[in-house]
Amino acid sequence: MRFVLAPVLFFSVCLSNPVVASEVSTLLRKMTDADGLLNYQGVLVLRKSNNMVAMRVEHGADGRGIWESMMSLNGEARRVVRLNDEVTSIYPERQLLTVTHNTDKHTLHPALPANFQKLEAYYTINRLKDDRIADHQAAVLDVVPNDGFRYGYRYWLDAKTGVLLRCDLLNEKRQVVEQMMFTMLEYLPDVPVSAFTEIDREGFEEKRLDPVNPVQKNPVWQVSNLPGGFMLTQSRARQTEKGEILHLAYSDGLASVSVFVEPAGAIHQKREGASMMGALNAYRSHINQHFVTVIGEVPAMAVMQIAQSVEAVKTVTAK
Amino acid sequence: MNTNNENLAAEKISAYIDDALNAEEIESLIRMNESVEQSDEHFSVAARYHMVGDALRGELSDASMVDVSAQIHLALRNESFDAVESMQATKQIKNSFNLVTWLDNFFGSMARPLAGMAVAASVAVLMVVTVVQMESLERGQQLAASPATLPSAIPDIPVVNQKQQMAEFDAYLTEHAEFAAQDTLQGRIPYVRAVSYEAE
Repeated sequence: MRFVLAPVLFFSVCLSNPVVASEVSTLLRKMTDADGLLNYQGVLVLRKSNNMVAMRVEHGADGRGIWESMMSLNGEARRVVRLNDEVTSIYPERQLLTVTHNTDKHTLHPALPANFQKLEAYYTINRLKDDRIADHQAAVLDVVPNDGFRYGYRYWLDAKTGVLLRCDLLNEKRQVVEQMMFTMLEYLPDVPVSAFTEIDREGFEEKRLDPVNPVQKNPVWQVSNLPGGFMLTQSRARQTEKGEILHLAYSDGLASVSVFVEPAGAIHQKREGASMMGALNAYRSHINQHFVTVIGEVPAMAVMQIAQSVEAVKTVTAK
Repeated sequence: MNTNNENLAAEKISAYIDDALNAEEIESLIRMNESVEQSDEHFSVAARYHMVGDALRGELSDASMVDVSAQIHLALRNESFDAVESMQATKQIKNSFNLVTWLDNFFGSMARPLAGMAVAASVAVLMVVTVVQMESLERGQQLAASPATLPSAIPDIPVVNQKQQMAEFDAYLTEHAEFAAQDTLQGRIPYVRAVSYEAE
């Protein structure tokens, strides 16, 4: 047991050192800033409990904004292209193309994720020994949750650029439930143009998933028993053929949880209860003729607690 | 009910969990499930059989609070006669284990005429469970000092039909990814996940 505690104590002591804490903070900031500054392409793998998916990534920042293209190299050649706030998902086998364009990117808590100090209340961040990933020197950070409502993370950041080269997601038993890692990464002087030419839409059914009410500052639903540290970051509604779907988004700066509330009548086929897909847990339940779906990269007990405490906001009538 | 019939019923339930029954056999199991008093014992026995199997394979979950036999009952009640495909939806409950229910079954079985056999099986389970947990502990200690490794299976959560689930969750995943990328530090990873769900 002392072999377990020794490095933890060592790094905890290190982190209490202002120099180390500042270094960690600098590394995290470098990671968040990297995508707006760099052009690169590479191949990464995502490994879950019993699946491994490889995908090609092309990333660039130019006068038009930030571009990113990700295409799966296994199974259906699904591709996601992001240009600033517009996300296009392409499903070649289904001849389907979905587009979301969120012009109002207002977040209800702009302090996240920039406010690293808040993270320290819910996570202990340790600097581990440097490593090498995809032939790049990497600084390694171990982010340990302080409670059971969030997963742990281990980040390998390119020591020069801050690009996230590898990320392990660890459950409450410190077992890895998901790994993402670049196996090849090449920095480019310019935007990889071939990846960001206009998407050929011919023959594809195109669905727009734009929210009708991008931000509702006073949502009619709320979570009464939210795990500590999570804050409402976005609230928006989307009109669909099944009715209006409300999306409440919560984050603690690292972990994220989405709550979807929709009229229950239209989705009678859906099942209630817990589900798991790799690192992502979901919980679904009926509440007041509505169907609630909670999804997040958090432990099962977190999505369950959130789902079970979703309630309609009581309206105050004037006397 | 005699011992042979009990064993046969327990084996059938075990086969159901392992997704090894055809439609007719599931149908007969659904009928048996409707008579709860008669079937409760089979389900407890099956749960123990199943646990032994899991323990021997090193797949026993030590953290779940889900009662195996109750889950099988529930699964069979939800089973549709003409939707054999939904069998897939429940088969993954096999990693679940409730210690309280197990102990209850264990001590309850001691009072019955078949106590000798049940005790032997239960003690064997207890021994295997202890060994597995000790190994897990040791592995955990090594894990903390070295890079983490992937577990052989993700325990605890009964997963419903994944294909169906993907279709239902697809729009939600995209929306979730969009906000998660904006409001968390990891940026790309939510999108990577969204791409990966279809590729599996």
